Amino acid sequence: MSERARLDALAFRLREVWANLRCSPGRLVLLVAVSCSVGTAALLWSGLESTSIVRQHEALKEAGLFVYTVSHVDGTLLDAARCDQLNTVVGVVSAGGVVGSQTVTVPQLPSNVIEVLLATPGLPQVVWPEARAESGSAAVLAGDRLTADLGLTPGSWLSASSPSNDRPVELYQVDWVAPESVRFPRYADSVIVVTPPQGGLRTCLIETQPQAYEAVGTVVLGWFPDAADIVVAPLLGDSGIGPSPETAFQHRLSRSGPLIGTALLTVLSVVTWLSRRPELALYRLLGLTDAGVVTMVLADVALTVWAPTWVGACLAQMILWPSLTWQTATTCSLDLARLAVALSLTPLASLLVCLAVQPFDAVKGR
Amino acid sequence: MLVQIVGCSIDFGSIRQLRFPDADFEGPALVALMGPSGSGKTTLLGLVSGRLTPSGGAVDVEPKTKPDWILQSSPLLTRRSALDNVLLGPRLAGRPGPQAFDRARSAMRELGVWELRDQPVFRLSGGERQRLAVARAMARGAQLVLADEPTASLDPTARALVCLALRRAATHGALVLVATHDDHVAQSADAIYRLEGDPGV
Repeated sequence: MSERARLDALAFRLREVWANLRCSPGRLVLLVAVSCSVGTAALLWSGLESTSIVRQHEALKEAGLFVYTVSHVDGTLLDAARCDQLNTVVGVVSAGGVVGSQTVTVPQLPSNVIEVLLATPGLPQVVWPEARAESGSAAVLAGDRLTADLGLTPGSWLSASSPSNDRPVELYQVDWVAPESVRFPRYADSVIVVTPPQGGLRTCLIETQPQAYEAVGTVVLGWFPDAADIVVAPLLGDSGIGPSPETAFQHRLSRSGPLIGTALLTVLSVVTWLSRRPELALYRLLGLTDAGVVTMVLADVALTVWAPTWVGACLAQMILWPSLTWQTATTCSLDLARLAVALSLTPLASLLVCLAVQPFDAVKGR
Repeated sequence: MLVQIVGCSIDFGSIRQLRFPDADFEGPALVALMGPSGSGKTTLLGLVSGRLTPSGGAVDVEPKTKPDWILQSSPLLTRRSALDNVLLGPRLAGRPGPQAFDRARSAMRELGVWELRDQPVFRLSGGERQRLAVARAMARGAQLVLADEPTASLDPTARALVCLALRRAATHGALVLVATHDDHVAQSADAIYRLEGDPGV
């Protein structure tokens, strides 16, 4: 057969596939709709579950997933300077603690009193990680509930007196109004004054980079004197540390989406071809070769399953686009690849059905 | 000879055997295979097509002869147009598009179904469908046409038209073997091959 004749035969088979599909609009619409829905659903499921995992992890991170609390087993004060020096350790984002506090009277408040905390420079950044620039540069920070009650804004002066006498003992100029901290909500009613790291502190708080969490934990164990009596614990407790996003991605349910979708489409495709046995048998009776059957089945599957599934997947990507991060985008892309590989096997079952057709029996309805 | 039957028999288990009279068939010709039900008319067509294998003797068919089938309810793509169905014959025989179209048009005109070319097959009557199947075989240039009760369940007018179509196919060079009970077909045939009921029981 010449090249031209071969191309003519191929074009004829493809035209036949298209013509047969056009003649059965119900079947075409059903297959396209189901395939498109499978593509959309598989990717949407994947994207939504991945986004949920990332958000849960972000929420945990914000709540202090990578924050250690270090304290002495019997409450002995730790060296504040040593705690502050942890800021020089690779992998530590910020470290600090409260070196002292005093309760002062503010007559304008219903409760009359507030707590003024003296903290090392690293503490505000551990308490307000979402506003490191502001919390790291302010010398006096006031919680937003307190400032709301007193009508204070950045630059305002707060005067307070000792509870034992009404003589003003201190004036604080507020540098930054701190929003409520997810990690330490109680600071919303306090004033934090940043002081040099001198003296002792009960608890040293250390925020680490996620990838350095374990390593920093090991360093901290030997960082303070009396290492045997030092307790290093996660801020959220052991229960707060769930699986890492990578582990959660590996075990998410939506990983099975491509396989479920492929199984559904394979069954639908096989059922469709079973119902078209007489049609296929006619082609074979009139001389269509095995290669011709393969061409027609592949072309049919490409038009009714592969293309619509990809369109559905693209649609899902468009829907997910605004919420995609590199992590969720990678997960979706991997699932898309998994779907593509699985779908490439879809025609196999149909081909088995089609090549097994006994033309004469099939056209006679047997 | 296009088809030669020599000492042919076929067993159906241990209790039933069919034996077929020796015969040579050469096209063009319309041959009616006549005989009572169960005498082996359809079986003989199966033997000629190569779908069945004889238990004894031989059915020799000229090599590379691919038969066209016309059945009581001929296989057609019912949602496609009449022309599309007829075109399948020459196209699947490897004829290029324009040549296939010319042959299809010629065959359909000869059998009086050209006016139906754009009609979907499901709108056509049984007789029209049978004529389309014959037109498809003609357009294909089939050397051997095997027809199994092609006029059964047709009204007399349709039966006559199908008969005429088979006759035309034979005129165009094909050997048409028709298994039938229809005397009208027998009258149109060039030869009658008679099978006696249950010869081997």
